[in-house]
Amino acid sequence: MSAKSTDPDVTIDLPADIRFIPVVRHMLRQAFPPLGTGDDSVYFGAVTEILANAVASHHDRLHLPISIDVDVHDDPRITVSDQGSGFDVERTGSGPFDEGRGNGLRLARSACPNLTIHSSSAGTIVELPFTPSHGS
Amino acid sequence: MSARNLPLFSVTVRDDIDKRIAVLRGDFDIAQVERFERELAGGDDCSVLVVDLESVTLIDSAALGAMLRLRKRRSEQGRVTEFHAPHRYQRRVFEVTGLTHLLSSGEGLARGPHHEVDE
Repeated sequence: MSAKSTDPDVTIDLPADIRFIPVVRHMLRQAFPPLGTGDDSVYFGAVTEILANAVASHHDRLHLPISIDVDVHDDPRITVSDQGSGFDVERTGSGPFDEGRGNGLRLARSACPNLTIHSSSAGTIVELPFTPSHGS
Repeated sequence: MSARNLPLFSVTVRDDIDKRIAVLRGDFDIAQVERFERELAGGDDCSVLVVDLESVTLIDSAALGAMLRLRKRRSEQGRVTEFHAPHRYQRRVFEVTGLTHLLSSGEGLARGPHHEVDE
């Protein structure tokens, strides 16, 4: 499913359960150079939003894991791949906060402007480039 | 507080002279929403509740939704809810979603010893 031509440095399989998100986020933080609390909050906040969306997309396929590829050397980034049914990548909340209506994606894009999303009925792949300064 | 140590989420509620203060610490994300709601379910019958986010190291949209539901529920009962978020990265979540009007200045929040949040 990955569009990449090289293997990631490490791959983490996240069970489709939100309870594992904090632990996985902690692991991901350790993989990258340390950021100040502000930048850390911004970037890993975006990662959290994407992970939560991926878990939600697996609501009817809980037995399938969500794959998290981690690249820390050349072109550092986190890539989240789920096996959900996809969504309209243009659907991002733009008005007042409306629960359950694209707010997570809006926050993720704001925090990580260079993130890319590829989504189809076979699943969704989100790449979050890691840059030291995320505008805290 | 360094977020590289596992920033465990906690909620501590204390009463001040004219308000109740809920001090949140650590990463406040979707996995902590249930705990947040449980911790504040029985103790939010005060007229003024301040949710102190100063020591929160991460806020996601699910956490924001939980805070909004709390505020809405209390508002329907004629009670005031304020959110104190002094750090830029905390306010950012409210800014992006058009909710900065919910933030308070934090005046009158008496503080004991606490960890500095490293920006």
